[in-house]
Amino acid sequence: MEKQQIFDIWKENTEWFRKNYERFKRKYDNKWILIRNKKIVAAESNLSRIMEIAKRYNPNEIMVEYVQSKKIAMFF
Amino acid sequence: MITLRFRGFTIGKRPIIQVFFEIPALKISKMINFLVDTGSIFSAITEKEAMLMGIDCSMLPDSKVETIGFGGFFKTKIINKPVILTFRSEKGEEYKIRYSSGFIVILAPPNLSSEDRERFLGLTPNVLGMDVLTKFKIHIDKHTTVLELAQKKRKRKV
Repeated sequence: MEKQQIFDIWKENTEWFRKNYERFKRKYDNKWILIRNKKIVAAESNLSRIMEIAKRYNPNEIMVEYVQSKKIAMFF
Repeated sequence: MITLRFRGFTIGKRPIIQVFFEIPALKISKMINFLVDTGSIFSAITEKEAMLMGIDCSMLPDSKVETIGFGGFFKTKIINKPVILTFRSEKGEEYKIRYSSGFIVILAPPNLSSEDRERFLGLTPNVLGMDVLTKFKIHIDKHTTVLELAQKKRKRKV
């Protein structure tokens, strides 16, 4: 897969995730979600389980994100 | 001089930029969303991201840098192979940064409960620290994050 195409796919998925983040917080609270082609293809409470599912896909076509509705103060 | 602009997002009030992360020696690459973190000296990826690239973190050497955050000390490893970070500008130009000093991988502390480990790995971001960010001018607002890079215009050979 061309690098430019990888950038485009990633940008689309990230933008889609950002736009739908509030909805995901209601539906997938405290879950890991696997995004591919602007769709959620898996949601799991356990990271190792979502990693097993992620192995089926090209890592450049998917995003794995954790969703939490509870606000948390983060300091880095 | 020309200015390259790299546009990211602001997700959940956090400035995020997309970077293509490559470890040529291991033939591994992956797009990664990085938090633009001017408070961090070093850049780092999380254990989760390393796992997605197929890296077994237990095989990586320990980082010599002691790592501390507001939550206290945490364990880090390093990728002891050169890493290439590729940024893509709004106009499609690529800008590469070669990182040879050992890219840091943040691990969950071993004493965490399984529930806290999930949350740690889920909520800890990949960070782009000042070791990389000093090359750029940074603009952040409610919706977007932009890194700007001024570059000398290359002369065309005739």
